[in-house]
Amino acid sequence: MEKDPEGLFSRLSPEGQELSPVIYRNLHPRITRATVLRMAESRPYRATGYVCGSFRKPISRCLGPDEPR
Amino acid sequence: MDWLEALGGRCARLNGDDIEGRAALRFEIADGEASLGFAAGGFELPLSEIGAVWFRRWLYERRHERVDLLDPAADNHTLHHELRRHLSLESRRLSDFIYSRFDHLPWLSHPRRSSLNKLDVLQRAARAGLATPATLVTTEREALRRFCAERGTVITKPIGEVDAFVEGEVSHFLFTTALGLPEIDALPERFAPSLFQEMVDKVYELRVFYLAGELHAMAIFSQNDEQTRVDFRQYNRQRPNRNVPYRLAPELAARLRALMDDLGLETGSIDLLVARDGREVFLEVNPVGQFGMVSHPCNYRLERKVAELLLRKERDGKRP
Repeated sequence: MEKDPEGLFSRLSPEGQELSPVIYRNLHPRITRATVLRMAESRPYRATGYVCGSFRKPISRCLGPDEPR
Repeated sequence: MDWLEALGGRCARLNGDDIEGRAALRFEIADGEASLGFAAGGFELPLSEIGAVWFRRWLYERRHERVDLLDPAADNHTLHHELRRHLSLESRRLSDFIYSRFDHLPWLSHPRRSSLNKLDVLQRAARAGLATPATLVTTEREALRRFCAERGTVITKPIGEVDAFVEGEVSHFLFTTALGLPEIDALPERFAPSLFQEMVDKVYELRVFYLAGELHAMAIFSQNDEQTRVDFRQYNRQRPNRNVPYRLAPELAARLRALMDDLGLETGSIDLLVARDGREVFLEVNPVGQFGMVSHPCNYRLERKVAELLLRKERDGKRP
């Protein structure tokens, strides 16, 4: 098992460590920005709220023609 | 949604996140009549026209979980926890009510069945005749030591959901982790309840998307890459794993169908490993799992199949 490189487990209080399952000893750090970008790529609709069709138009325009891609 | 429209249907998407600030929500009871409405961008979601519901995921992250609720950010963790707990309950109650407003419609996946208990599923899988990994949940180092001595290297993973803890620029992920005797010896004599399983010597992994009795399988060759060997979700983006369509043996397919029937699921993503000794070992089911990762590499066009099923449900009006 690797060490916890960012030291999150080691930063827990003694009680926090006692309450954490064994997997918490080996949390894998990743850059948050990369994670958020990946989510945004896979869920572009999140930025516009309601959407329909091609994910490119809000529901307020659902009944109209498709917008150009 | 593209397929629904191409096949002559109409659809709208409602995100759980939207009701926490992005959209207008209104529920009224007046003169014995109740009405519920959502609006965004000046347009009202036409609830009365909805003929079927596809539940994927609702709230990824509640707004109040992302922000400091105390201003200024006071060092009062107990109060902060109490506020978050209460807001979470409020959010859950509202979500339950919104689901109940669509109870008269046919659903594909239902929130009531969207969160399975991994340990319960393993028991049911074994009952259905599927091979499952030797599993131990314990708080005792000695029990884990004996398990490891019998089974060799073991893995540990969460009993519930895989999660990530965001800390500014860095997120801490709970990936499946391998443990040998030296690591086990370094643990305290007693620890919090943790899930351990034998580490199956796999040749490749299988991801199977189940949809209304049909099984669509893909093999993932994750074993040849050190980065993806224990958990393929530690993706190697420079040199991705090879993914190919896979034909399931009829006996295995029948057992998987029996398990999905037992769980009352009409759809789900099933994870299995094919071991070096030939066993096809069942790991878990995700009722709202990804299917794009199976559909695209294998050309299964699952998006179309989902759209067709939803339109059939709308036409037949069959309730869950």
